[in-house]
Amino acid sequence: MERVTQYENSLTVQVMTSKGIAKRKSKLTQREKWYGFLFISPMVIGYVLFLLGPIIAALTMSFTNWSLIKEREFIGFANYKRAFFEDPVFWDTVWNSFYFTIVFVPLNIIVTLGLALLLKEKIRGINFFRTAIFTPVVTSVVVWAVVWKYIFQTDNGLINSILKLFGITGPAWLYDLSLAMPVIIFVTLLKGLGINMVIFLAALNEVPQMYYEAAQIDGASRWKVFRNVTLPLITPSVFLVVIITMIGSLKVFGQIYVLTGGGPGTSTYVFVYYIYSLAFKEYEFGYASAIAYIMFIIILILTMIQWNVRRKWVHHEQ
Amino acid sequence: MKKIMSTALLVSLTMALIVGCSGAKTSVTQQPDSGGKKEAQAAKKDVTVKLTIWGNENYKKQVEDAAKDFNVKYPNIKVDVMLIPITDYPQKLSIMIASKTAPDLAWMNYRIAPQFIEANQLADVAADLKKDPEYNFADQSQAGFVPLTRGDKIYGAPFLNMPKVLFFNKTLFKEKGLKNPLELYKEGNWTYEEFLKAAKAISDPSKGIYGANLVTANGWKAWPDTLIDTIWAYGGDFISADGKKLVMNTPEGEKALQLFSDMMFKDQIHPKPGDQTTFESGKIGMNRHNYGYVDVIRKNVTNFEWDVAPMPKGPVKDAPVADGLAGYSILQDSKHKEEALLFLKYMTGNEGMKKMASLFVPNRMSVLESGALTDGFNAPSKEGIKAAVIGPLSPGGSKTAPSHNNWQQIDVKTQTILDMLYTKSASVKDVLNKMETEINPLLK
Repeated sequence: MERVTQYENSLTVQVMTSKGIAKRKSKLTQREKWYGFLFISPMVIGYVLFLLGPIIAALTMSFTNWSLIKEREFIGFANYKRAFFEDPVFWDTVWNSFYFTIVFVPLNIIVTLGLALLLKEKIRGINFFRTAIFTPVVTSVVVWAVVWKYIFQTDNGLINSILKLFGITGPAWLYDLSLAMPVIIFVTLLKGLGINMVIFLAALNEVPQMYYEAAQIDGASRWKVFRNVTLPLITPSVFLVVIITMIGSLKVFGQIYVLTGGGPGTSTYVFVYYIYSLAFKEYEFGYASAIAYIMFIIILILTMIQWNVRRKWVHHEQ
Repeated sequence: MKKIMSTALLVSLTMALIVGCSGAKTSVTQQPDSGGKKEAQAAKKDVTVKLTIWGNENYKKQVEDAAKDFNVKYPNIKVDVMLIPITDYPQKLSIMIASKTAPDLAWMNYRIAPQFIEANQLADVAADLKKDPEYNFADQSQAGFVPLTRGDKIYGAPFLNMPKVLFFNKTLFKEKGLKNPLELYKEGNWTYEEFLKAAKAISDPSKGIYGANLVTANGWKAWPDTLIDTIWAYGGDFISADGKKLVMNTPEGEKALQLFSDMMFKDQIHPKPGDQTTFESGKIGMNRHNYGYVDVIRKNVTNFEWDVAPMPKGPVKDAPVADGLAGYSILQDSKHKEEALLFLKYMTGNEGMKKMASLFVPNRMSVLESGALTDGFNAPSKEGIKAAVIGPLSPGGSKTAPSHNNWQQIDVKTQTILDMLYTKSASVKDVLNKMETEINPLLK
């Protein structure tokens, strides 16, 4: 970095001393500018074509009643009105999504931070445990969910078979209104532990040893060290994890599609599942787009709130 | 300023893109039919007819084999078969139509055909079929055309007419010393009482053995497959004949649903919701399936004997048997209508139907009576086929499960309401009341 600045400085000096060079330089930057555009163009074209285009298309779609093979009509805000005032399933969906998020995010952070603290220690065989916990992250969510579907089966599932050995008749895990969502939270938690754990591990290793030593000399207990030294110093990572985990959990879909298909009843209908069901099962593309936009706005608002309150609890930000 | 300009440009470009797409969309349904004029050239040009089917690899292979024989007859026409899982079939086909990559020819069933007919996506073949003496239109079971017919227009030709049957595990019945369903049927005593009695005798929940399973291979979400002919047998129905009203909330409908609920939760003779125990595992006494499942059973069952029987009789003795109808339909926008029609005629004609008889119950009387269904196989028995498959195909013996233009929404809604029953969170009566309030608005 320093060297570059020096180079630029010397360049400016040259520019100031000679007009000819100055001209050449501006020509150079002009050309470089086009090279720059050329280099980023694949990304920009891809973004416009496959992301920005569909995003705007979805917005226009949300004001129509389009259903694939039929003609479409512009119907103004009717889809949005329908969601808020006429569709009880939409409110089920909102509640379920928040239920999932409110339980999942804190649980995930507590467990992953706990694991990171455990696995930070340099003891023999620690890499094995780190790998074991990280492995599910690289597995496909569908494969993961299918395996768990077998484990949670009512009659011949692994869990109920084990319970049977002890003479207990296990519940219908995935066919119970109050159990289905906790099961999905559990399965999702196990799958995603690794990634947040790694982020926390990295953050914990960044905490300078001297603070610990100072705390030790002052005679702080382990809890106090954690509470007053470790935690404040890793708050930027906690913040990052909170944001990405929250957005991720509002977008949960794959495991629900495989494990419960939104059921039983509407007890595991979440945003993305409802959007999928409306668009691809009921062909209500217009209404599905409206829900997608409502979801987008909710996520945006939640993220902005977090962003604004972070000053109150995130320390040590660079 | 520059920023605003470039953003505006971007937005307008994207808008143009979207509007461009929608413009193309409107022309899909309005494109004039140009099939007829090409007739003369059809014989010469090399043409590939795209066909979409559902099912499994074996279905695909059989259709491809038939297409090869067809290719010998018409060397210039090749058929390209695309396999789509049944659960994705209507969506995928709709998307293919919307994106102008539709096939020339597609399998249609009674459930999905109404939407595509309604949206003017299928071509009328009435004249082509009726005027061709070689095709022998009268030999086709006419009931098979009902879901594909609107007025005097016919939007396809059926190739299968498959009643739901009861597969039973002969070995389990023998072990318990019970008369099996086919024997009881022959005695004229095959009723729901006997069905429940047998199921109770066979069930042993501690070993995971269940006497009966009404859920077909299409799974727990495919509730019409599971329930409809039990509902009919008890004198009920799902929606009225004109499709405008839910008629499930009646004492008859309640009895049928209560029976199903009791089998699962009270008597424990039926697998619990979500359970995936298959007939092939040998742990199910009697399993309702589409007859088409015979292919899977033939391939996978080696350690017990089995056969087919009709579903038992309920209080309404002459209640129809639920059947699944499927046919070949030509897409309205196809550029190779003539060639597609030739393949349609081949597959729904005598030769094609015979070729597929190991998988499907053909819709042609002459083929049905030829023994093509049983020749060369150990099971099911000839009498089983006669009682469970050919019998119901006589006029009035079978009926298709309900369908509606709005079927997707009705289906999704009914699934979620039935889940209340499956999770024991509502009584049968509550479930029916809920159906009435939530489904009726969708039937407009």
